[in-house]
Amino acid sequence: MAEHEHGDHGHHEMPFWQKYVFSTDHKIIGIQYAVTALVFLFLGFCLMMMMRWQLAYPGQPMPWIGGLFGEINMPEGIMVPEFYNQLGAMHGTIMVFMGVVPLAVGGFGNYVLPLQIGAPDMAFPKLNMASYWVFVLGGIIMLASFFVPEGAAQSGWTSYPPLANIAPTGQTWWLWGMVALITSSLLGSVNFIVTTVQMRAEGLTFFRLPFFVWAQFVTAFLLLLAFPPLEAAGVMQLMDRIAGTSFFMPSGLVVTGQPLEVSGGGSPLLWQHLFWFLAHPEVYVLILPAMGIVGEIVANNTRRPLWGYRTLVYSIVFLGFMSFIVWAHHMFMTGMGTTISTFFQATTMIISIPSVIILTAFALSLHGGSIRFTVPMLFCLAFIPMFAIGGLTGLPLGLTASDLHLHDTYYVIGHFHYVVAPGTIFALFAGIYYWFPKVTGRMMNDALGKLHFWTSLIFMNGVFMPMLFVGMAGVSRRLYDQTQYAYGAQVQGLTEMSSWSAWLLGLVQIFFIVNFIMSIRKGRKVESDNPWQATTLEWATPTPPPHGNFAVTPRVYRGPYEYSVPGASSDFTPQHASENGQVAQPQPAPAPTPADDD
Amino acid sequence: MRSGMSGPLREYCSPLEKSLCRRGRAIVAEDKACDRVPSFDSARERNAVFRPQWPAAARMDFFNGLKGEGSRMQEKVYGYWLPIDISTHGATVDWLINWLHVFMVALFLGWGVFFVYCLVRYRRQANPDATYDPIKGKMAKYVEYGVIVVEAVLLVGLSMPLWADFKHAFPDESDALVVRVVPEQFAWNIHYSGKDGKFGRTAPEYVSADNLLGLDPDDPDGNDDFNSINNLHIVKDKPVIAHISSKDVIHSFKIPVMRLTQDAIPGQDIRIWFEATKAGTFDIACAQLCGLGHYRMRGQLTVESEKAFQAWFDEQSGAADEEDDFSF
Repeated sequence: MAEHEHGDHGHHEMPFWQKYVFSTDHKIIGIQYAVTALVFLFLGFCLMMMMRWQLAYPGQPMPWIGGLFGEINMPEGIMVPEFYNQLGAMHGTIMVFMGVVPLAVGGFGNYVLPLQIGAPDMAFPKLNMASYWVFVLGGIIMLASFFVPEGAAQSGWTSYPPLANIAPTGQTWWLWGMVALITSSLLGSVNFIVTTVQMRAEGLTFFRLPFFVWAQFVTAFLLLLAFPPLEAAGVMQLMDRIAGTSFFMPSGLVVTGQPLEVSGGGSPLLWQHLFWFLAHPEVYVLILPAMGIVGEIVANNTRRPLWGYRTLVYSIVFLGFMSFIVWAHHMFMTGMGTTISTFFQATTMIISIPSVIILTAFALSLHGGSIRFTVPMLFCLAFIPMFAIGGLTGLPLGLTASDLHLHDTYYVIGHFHYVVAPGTIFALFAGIYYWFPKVTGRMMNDALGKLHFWTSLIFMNGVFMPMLFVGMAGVSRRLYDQTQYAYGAQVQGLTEMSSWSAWLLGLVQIFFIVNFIMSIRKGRKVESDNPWQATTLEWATPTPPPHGNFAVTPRVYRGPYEYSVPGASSDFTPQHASENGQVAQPQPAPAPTPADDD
Repeated sequence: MRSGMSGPLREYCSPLEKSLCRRGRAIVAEDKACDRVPSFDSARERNAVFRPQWPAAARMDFFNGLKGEGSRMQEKVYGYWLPIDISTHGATVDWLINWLHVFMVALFLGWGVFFVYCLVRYRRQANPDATYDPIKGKMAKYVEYGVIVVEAVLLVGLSMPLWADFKHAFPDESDALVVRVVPEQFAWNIHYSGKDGKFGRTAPEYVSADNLLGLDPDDPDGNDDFNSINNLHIVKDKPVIAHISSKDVIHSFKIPVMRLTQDAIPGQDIRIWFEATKAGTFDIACAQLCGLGHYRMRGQLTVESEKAFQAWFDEQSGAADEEDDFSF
C-alpha cells in the first residue's frame, strides 16, 4: 500500500531541508502544519485585537502602534472603515481556514492518527506533503493580499456577492487563496480516509479505534464532500470578477449611481447556498477533532473507559450526516418560505440532539472516575461547559421566530465563538499539552500551563459573554462603530469590556508561547514512552517516534480505553498488550526493515 | 479625520455623496462633522446620556417577556436585554427568546451541578480507584428526551405558526400602508406611492442623483411618488406591507424594536408585513455587511397617528407632484 521510497525508516540522518522542509513523514508534516497554524492563529488573533480598539473606542487614534499601518489604512492612527472590514474578513478566514482546521486536522490528524492506528505513515506520503505546501501557498496568497492596492478582501469571510463581486482586487486574491486552501484540505481528506480504512494495525477493528480516529475519519468525509461545492463556487466568483460571467449578479444593478456593466441574470442567493453547504459542515470540521481530543484526554485522566463509546461514535457519524442538511438556517432571513424554513428548523433542532448526547457522555465519564487535574485535562474540562454554552445559544438562532430578532447580531458572534474559541481552541491547547511529550520527549511546564489555563478561561468568557447581551440589545454584527445606533451606544460599555478581555487574553498567551518554546529545549524529560499511562497505540512508539514509527509492529487485542479493568495489574491496559498482559518489547537489535505495511 | 478632529467620530460624507463616489474618502469635506449624538470621549460622558439601568429595567422586561407581553420597558427604549417591543408579533418572539433562555440556563445549571459534583467527588484524592463499569441509571436518557420534547414543542407550537403568520397572513393591501424599501450603499430609499396609491414604474436606466429610485418620468403613476430617504413614516396600529429589494448589494432591513430582520436582495422583491403599537421614533439598522459605510446605514422609523402621518404624506406627495409639473 504505502509506498516507502526511503525504505530506510530513519536509519541515517537526512539533510535538514529534506528532513524538515520537504519531508514526506507524517510526523514532520504534522509538526509543520501545527506550527504554521499556530502562527496563523496568533496572527488572526492580532487582527481581532486591532479591531477591538476601534470597537471599544470608535474614531480614536490607536495608541503606540496606530502609526504603523500607513496613511491609507490608519490616518493619524485612526482606523478607516475599509481597513476595519479587511481585518474582519481576514480574521474569519485566517482563523477558520488557516488556523483551526490546519491545526486540528493537518496538525493533530497527521501526527496522531497514523500512530493511533499503528501505521508506519499515511497511505500517500507525497500527497500529504503536497497538501501542506498547497496550504502554505494559500496562506501566502492570503497574507500578500493585504499589500495589493486597496488592501485585502473586505466583504466578510462569507464573501457574499454582489458586494464581493464589486470589491477591490483583494477579493480576487482571497478567491485564489481559498482555491489553494480547499485543494489542500481535499488532498488531506482523501489521505485520512484511505489511511484509516487500509492501514489499521492487526486486530484494530473499527470499534476498537480511538474516538479521536473516529472524529478525524468523519471530519475527513465532511471535508471531502463539502469542500468541492465551495471550490466550484469560488471559481465561479473568480470568473464573475475576472472573466465577465454573471453567476451571482442579477440584472439591473445600480452601484454608486451608475448602472453596473454586467450581463446579469445570476443569483446572489446561489452563492449563499453553495457557501453554506460547505460552511455548515465546516463548523463540524472545527468541532469534531476537538471532541476527539477531549475524548482521549477525558478517558486518560478519569482512568476509566469513556462512557458510551459506541453511542459517541454513532453520534458523530450522525452529526456528520446531519451537518449536510442544515445549511440554510444561516439564510432564514433571505425571504425563505414556510416549507423550506420548517425543514431546516427541524433538521437544526435534530442536529442538537447528538451534540447533547456527546456532552452528556463526557460528563457521565467523569462519574466514578479518579480524576487527575493535569493541564490537558483542565482544558478539556473547560471545553465541556464552554461548548455547552455555544451549543445552547444556537437554539434561539435555529428557530426562525427568535432568529427574527437575533439574526446577524452579536448574539451570533457570541454563539459561534463559544463553540470555536473556548470550545475548539481549548481542546486544541489540551491536545498540545497532551501530545507534546510524545513529540519532543519533554513535558511542558505545569505551573505555566495552569496559569495559562485559568487566565485564558476567565478572559475568554470576558470576551464572549458580553457579546450575547450586545446581540440581545439588537446590535448588528460587522459594525465599525456601534455607537451610531442608540441601542448600540447603550451597550457600548459591554463592548469595551469585551475589548479589554481580548487584549488581556492576548497578553496571557505569553505564558503559552514561553512554555512552548522553552519546553522544547529545557522541559523536563519524560521517564518513559508513556508518561500519561495511556492505553492507545501512539504511546507504544519510541519517544519521539522515529521515521516508520513503531519498533515492533503492534497488534491490537482490545478496545481503546481499558482503564481500571478489574483484576488487571495496573489501572491501564494498553491496546497492544496481549491477553496475558504482556507488551511486545522491541528486540535488542531491531531488524533493518521492521515495519511492514500490513 | 483631520488634525484637531480627534475624539468624536466624524463622518466622511453623507450617504448621498457616497452614492456618487464609491470610494468615499476621495471627497472628504473638512466641515462634515457627524451630526449624530452618540459619540463620546469617555464612558462617563456616555453614561450621562444613556444611563445603564441594568439590572432593574432589564429584569422587569425579562419577566414581562415571559408573560407574553413583549418587552414593555417604559423608562427607556433600549437596554441590556431585548429592546422595547412595539410590534404586534413581537410578544411571541420575546416570549420564545426569554423562555428559551430560562430553559437553557436551567439545563446548564442542572447539568453543571452534576459536573461540579463529579469533579469534587471523583477527584483523585477522594477516589483513588476508578470504577470500570459505566454509571447506571436512566436520568441522562430522561433529560435527553426532555430536551427533544421541549425543542419539538417550541418548533411546532411556536416557531412554525409565527413564521407562517409572518409569511402568509398578510393583511389586505387596501387596509395597509404599502411602501417599497430599496436600499443602496449606504442609505434607505423608502418609496411611497403618493396620493394616487399607485407606484410608478422604476428602471435602472432612470437612476440619477435626483432620482435615486429610478422612477420612469413618462409614467403618470409616478408623478406624485416620493422617496423618503432614511425616514420610514408609518401609522400606529395600522399594518404596513413593505416590498424589500435592493439597488446594489445585499442589505438587511432590521428594526430591533419591531423584532424584524429581512435581507434586501437585489433582483428579488420580498414582501413583509408588520404593525406598530406605539408611537415614537426608533432606529432602523442594516444587518448585512454592505461595504465601508455599513455601520452608519442608519434609518429612522417614525410611528405616528393617522392624522400626523397624513399631513406629512400629503405634504411630501404634493411637493413631488409640483416638482414634476414644474419640470415637464
